[in-house]
Order: sequence, then C-alpha cells, then structure tokens
Amino acid sequence: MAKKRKHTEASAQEVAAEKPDDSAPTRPERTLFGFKKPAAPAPDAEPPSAVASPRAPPFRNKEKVLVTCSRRITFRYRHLMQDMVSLLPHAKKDSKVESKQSKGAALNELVELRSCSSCLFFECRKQKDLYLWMVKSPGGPSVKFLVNAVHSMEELKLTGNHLKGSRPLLTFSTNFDEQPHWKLVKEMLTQVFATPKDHRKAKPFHDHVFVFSIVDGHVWFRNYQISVPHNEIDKVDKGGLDKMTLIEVGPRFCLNPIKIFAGSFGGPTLYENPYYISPNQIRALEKRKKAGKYAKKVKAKVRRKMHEMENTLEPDEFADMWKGED
Amino acid sequence: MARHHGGSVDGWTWTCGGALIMVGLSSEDPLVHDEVDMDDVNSDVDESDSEDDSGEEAQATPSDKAIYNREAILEKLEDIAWPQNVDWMHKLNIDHDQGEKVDVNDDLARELAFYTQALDGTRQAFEKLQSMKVRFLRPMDYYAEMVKTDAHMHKIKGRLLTEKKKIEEAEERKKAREARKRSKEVQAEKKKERAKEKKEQIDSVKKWRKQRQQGDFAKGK
Repeated sequence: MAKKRKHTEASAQEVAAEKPDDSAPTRPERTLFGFKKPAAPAPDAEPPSAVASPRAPPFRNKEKVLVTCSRRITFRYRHLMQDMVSLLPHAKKDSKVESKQSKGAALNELVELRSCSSCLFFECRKQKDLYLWMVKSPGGPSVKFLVNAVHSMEELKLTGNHLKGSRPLLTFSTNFDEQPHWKLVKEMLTQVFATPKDHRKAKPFHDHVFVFSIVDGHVWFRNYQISVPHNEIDKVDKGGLDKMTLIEVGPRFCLNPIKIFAGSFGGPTLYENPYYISPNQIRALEKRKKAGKYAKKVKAKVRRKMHEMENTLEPDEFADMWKGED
Repeated sequence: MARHHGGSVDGWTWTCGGALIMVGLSSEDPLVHDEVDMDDVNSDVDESDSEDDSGEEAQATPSDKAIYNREAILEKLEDIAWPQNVDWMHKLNIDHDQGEKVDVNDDLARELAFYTQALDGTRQAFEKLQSMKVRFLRPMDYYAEMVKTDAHMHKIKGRLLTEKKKIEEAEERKKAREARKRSKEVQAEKKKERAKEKKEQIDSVKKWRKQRQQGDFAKGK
C-alpha cells in the first residue's frame, strides 16, 4: 500500500515538474499582422535587458475608485455621495452595503470584484453621523473620517458649474507636510481625487479646482469653478490671471480623521486622533448637562430648606404691636 | 512591523487592531522611540488647540493612549506613493501656505482663506500649464455635459432673480415710506410758505397804497 502511494506521489511530482515546462515557452507578442517574430539579436551584440532597463515603463495612473455607502443612509449624505461620483470620472458606483457584520471582508471582496484600487465608503450611523472610509484596496492603508458640515451640490446657494469629467487642480495647504499622518492623507487624497491623465471619460480642459485645507485638525474640502477671460485655448488673456475669479460649485464637507489602519478596511492601527470625541459621546454629554439642570434645581431647593431650618427667624417683637388698636 | 496582513481581513474591530499593534510594539521594542515621537506631536497639537478651543463644545485634552506609529505610517506612505519623479501633469497639485492660523469659527475668514488658497493655486497651475504649451482652457464653442444639469442651473437662476427682485421691492418700499414721511413735512412747509407769501403780498400792497397816498399828498402840494 505504502509503496503504491509513494509511486503515485512520485508520478504526481513528475507531472508537477512537467507542468511548468508546458507553460514555460511564452507566446511571442501579437501584432496586428499575426505573431511577432522574436527580434533578431542586435548586431552590436548588446544584451536585450540592458536596452529595456533604461526605458522603464512610463508611469500610468490606473486609479479606479469604488464609491458606495451603507444601508439606511440619509438623503443628504446620499446626495453628497452622488456628487462625489459625478466629480470623479474614474469612480464606480455600487449598490448599498449592509453596514453590520463582517463589513470589511465583504467590502474588500467587492472592491476586488470591481477591480478598483481604492474605495470611498460612506457609512451612516443612527441616521445622523456620517463616516467616510478612504481605502487603498489591496494592501491598505485605510483612513476613517467623521464627516461634518455637509453641503451637497444640489443646494441653490452654490452657483458655479463646470464640465463633467474635466480634471481638477488640487490645492493643498502646506500644513499637510508637517506630520507623517497628514502626509499619508495627502497622498491618498491626491490619488483618489486626481482624475487619471488621459482617462477615457476625462475632458482635456481644466476648469475647476479642489481645495484641501487643514484647519483646526480637520480637512476642509471646497470645489470652485475657474472663470478666466481667454480667447485661445492654450493661453490666458494678458492680465487675465489677475482678473480670474472663482465661483463655488460645491459640495462642501469637512473631514475629521479618526484612525488610520494599515490594512484595507481593518488591520493594525497606525494612528489614532487624540482629540477625537465620537458624536455619541458629545450627545451623551449634552444630555447629561440637561439632566444636571433639574438635579441642580432640586439640590438648591433642599439647600434652601436646610438653611431655613438652621437659621430660623426669631419671633418678631413688633408682630402684635397694632393688635390692640382695632 | 506594520505589515500585519493576516489581520487585515478579520481585524475589523478597533480593539483588535489596537491589540495587534500593542503586540507588535512589545515584540520589536521601538516603544521608547515611539513614545518620544508621540509626546512632541501631542505638545504641537496642544498649542494649536488651546487657541481655537473657545467655541468648540467638549474639546477635551488629548487622550494619552492614542496610537501614533510614525515609522509604520511613513513605510505605508512609501508603499502607496507614486514614483518620485512622476510628471506634474499626473498630479496637478499645488501647495499653498496659509500664513497665520485661520480661525475656524469665523466663517468669513475661513472661507476667504480657502478662496485665496484656490485662487493662488490656480494662478500657479495656469502659469505652469501655459509654460508647458498645453491646451488647457475650454474653447468657447465646446459644449459638453456639465456637473449640474441645465434644469438645476435654471433653478439657481430663478432663485437669484427672485432674490434680486425681493431686494428691489424692499428698496422701493423703503423709498416710498420715506417719501411719505417727507411729503408731510414738505406739505406743511409749503402751506407755511404760501401763508407767508400771502401775508407779504398783502403787506406790500398796503405799503404801496400808503406810499401812494403820501405821494399824492406830495404831488398835491
């Protein structure tokens, strides 16, 4: 028996050894006219690897962003998400994801399935609080933000408009370079929000600008339309740069970083915001304050009573002064 | 030490992540180093925070337990970063120095800071694009889908018009009110003036008559 098994194992090994041989001869590269013949060795007898290495493949940005949200998201936040989709031509939408149970694994799978390299996941909790996960997909990292001060593009106060799919200019405030975690956030924002050059849905003109600015430890986002006088398409009119005006298009939001994880949708924590207080805690605190009001009143009443008991008024000596007059 | 790839899938909960990092720290012992880093960061943030704390509710002191693993972050950054010499056309990013600290609670100042950042950045970017001889401005006859639909822009226009109309109407009402107030005064003045004129005329006639009588006497002499 044992012998037999050994034999089969050996044969399996043989097969395994043979298999790579089978696939090893790579197919010659295809051209329009059929298979390309392997290039004849150069007359200079230069090794081909030496030729290939200086011409490293040019950098190509193949970023794709999956944009999705959790179930039971409120309309305002949903509109914000839709705005993001319309601002990022390299974004892919997906249906809502159930926010409970093993969300990380499911989302990772989803991102991989849609062959995206990053993900913006809008997570709404308690129909009040919006969290934004910004994730680089296969190997992380992921950043979790709390989103505040949300205004969508729908609002009528923001009067600007720009081409759908034109590539935005990104402006960052310099305090992004002060600390490592901000540096990481900056790199991720650049990769997620910059439309890849020569993307098939991108338009070749630049008519809007994104603002990412750190104020008070939060990242503020603004989107402006650029309006500048020009007659030609590769040159601004003389003095046009001074006449340039910006009109806000929206949306607006403010990101408060909570944590940075090493993996995508999870993994060890690399950074934790020491100033972060969850909105739940804030609400609880407020409630407690309100509750304290009644307790204070009761306490004051009791104290007053005690005080009165302790220092009773001595009977007034003039109390029955006029009693006999009537 | 940052690469706990095993934990990336099921290390979902925060506690789990925290536990993992603790393990990592204790096993490799860059703990002392990290703590030093963390301290100076905290003090940085502390300074900046004490200034703008005024309007914020419940801005507590920073928690001491907060994890800050600088090396791992920088390592991650290196992992995901684009190559150093990548063409600017890929990124299109501009840095802008805000100058002194911006007050968060002052809406106008804050928005102005963002606006100047955008304006300044755009100017720099446009100069760069011009020097690169790229076609980057939209020609006048280029029509394409916009971010906001025409219907939406129509709504915005309608709103702007109604707002303008409202302001004009309010101004007109204000003017009318003032005119009414003033008209009473004017009328009273006019009445007074007329009375005065009448009196003067009567006076002058009387005077003239007197003079004539005297003149007659003078002539009659």
